[in-house]
Amino acid sequence: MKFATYLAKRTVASVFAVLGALCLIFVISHVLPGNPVLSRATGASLGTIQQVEQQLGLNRPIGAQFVDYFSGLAHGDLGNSYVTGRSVASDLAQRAPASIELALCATLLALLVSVPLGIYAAVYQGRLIDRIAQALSSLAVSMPSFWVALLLIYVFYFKLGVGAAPLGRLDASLSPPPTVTGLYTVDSLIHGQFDIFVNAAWHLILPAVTLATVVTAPLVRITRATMLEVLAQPFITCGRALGLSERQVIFHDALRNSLASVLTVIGLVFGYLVSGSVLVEQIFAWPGIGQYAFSAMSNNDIPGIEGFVLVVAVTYVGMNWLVDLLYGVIDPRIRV
Amino acid sequence: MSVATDIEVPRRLLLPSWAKGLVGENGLLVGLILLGVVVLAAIFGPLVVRTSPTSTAYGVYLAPSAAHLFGTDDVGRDVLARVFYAIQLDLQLAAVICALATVAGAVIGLFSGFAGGLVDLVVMRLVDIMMSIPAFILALIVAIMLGNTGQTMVLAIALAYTPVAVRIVRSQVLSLRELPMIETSRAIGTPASRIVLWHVLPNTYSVLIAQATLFLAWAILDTAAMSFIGVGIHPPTPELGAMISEGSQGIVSGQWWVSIFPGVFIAFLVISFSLVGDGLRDYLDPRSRR
Repeated sequence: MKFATYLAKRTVASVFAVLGALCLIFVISHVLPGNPVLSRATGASLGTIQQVEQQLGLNRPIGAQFVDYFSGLAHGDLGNSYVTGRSVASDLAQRAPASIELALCATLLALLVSVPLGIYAAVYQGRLIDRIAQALSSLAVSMPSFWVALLLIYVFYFKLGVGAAPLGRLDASLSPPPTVTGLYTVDSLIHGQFDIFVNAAWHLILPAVTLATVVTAPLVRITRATMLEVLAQPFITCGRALGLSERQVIFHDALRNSLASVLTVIGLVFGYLVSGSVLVEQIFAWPGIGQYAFSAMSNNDIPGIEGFVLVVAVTYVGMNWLVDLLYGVIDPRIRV
Repeated sequence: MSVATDIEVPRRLLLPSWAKGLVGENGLLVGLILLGVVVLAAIFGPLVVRTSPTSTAYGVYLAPSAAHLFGTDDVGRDVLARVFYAIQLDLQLAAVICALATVAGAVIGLFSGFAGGLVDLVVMRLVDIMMSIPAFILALIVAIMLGNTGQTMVLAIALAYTPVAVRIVRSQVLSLRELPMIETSRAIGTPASRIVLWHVLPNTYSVLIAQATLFLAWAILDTAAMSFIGVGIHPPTPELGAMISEGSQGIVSGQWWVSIFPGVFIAFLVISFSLVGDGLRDYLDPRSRR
């Protein structure tokens, strides 16, 4: 199959997966018995409930609500949140930078630790460092993220007094930098506000380490496994026989050929990040999408939930699509 | 490669054949031992440490001591006694989730893989759709929409895991379906139901059991995570995640023991189930060994 055909097929499948996910969430939120009005107004009279239902359009036939939702979506309208009363799209856009900053920072930290660890584990396979790397990654993936968060807060905030209070992105006395990207660390640097950069980074570090802990394990495992595979290949033996230095063989030849496979776990990593952020943002009072999603869920805020799922599904499916595309670019052999 | 397999001792070990395969499966053995210790502790612990998990008579926020090994919580309950009950509860919940997801996944996967055609196409598209939302998020939404109780949480988590089992069983079925033994069986007129139940299903057990063990590990984590944010099991019921949540208030004022101890046991349980799951996969299906 030609790469273009393959890509076209994957694109169509991706679009259907996202639409399918939206239908699924629509069905779950509209057909399952939870009543969004009742759950927020316990003790309200039947008349009031019916009145609110009518305002929100919840008493209309499911089919009509379905058509409404998707035609709104086609016009970029995600509906209004029952909780904030504002449009879900603007709520999400406003909160996205906080989550993106956190997720990027966590991924970067995780990569910085796990790729070298995975390389060393593979190079010294079966030796002590390999055992330690494997034990650490098993441990990291087994610890609940919310518990790691509390542990870090206890040790670094309470005990050592060096961590920031788990109360958002900046000290309450500071005002956020003028918005360019929405990432406080980047914006503050753009405007040369160095004190704000330090404070934002300080607040970022504990939640980022928490999320990084969770995603380290799959990254270490895949790096180690592919490095082992690549190191066993004839061209590595050939390189060594030709007298290339071990450093050259490992970091230049083997690592380059392994990195493409690390991309394959990106979906897994993203899943961990999203699930983790719902819990971790809650603990650190981080004003991101995870916190918004949780408040939407606990308030039965259907448009909020649907908006969140849209963002998650699009990013998730989009990432996998991009990985497939990049894969063809990085490793032209699979295009055939 | 472990030492035990490298050095062939001339003396013959009198082990049954199933036990011979266990030699060298260090991960599996360590996992089983860890799990055994935690489970036995949770069952027999309450008989040894005779403090009540519900009594609030012990004094508020007592640090760990000989009288209360894990200290007491914000309303004066013994944390250790609660941890014992919480482990029992979490194991039961995980077992039910695992059973539901595995059985549902096996049935759907068998049917879809063996039927092929349109049925298979529809099932696989559904699986893709469900897997385009991270399992924890899907489970969270379904659990809340169904009414935020223990039962709905169990159902929701099982539902979110089912696609994984479906995929695994189906891919097994697809390769098994082409085997000569199945073709022969069909040729001599064995009914399809019998082929599926007698020849295909038993051959999926090895991967299915390994996956089921991993479901147990995930279920422990996800149950705790949900209860932590107030979905599923609610305080004052002793559940590991709910206990961590109750103790989280004390973290910033120094009462670490209320949250930290339950979390240690979550990690213990998850690690041992993962070790057993990975080990079982190698033990039951030596081809997958790296």
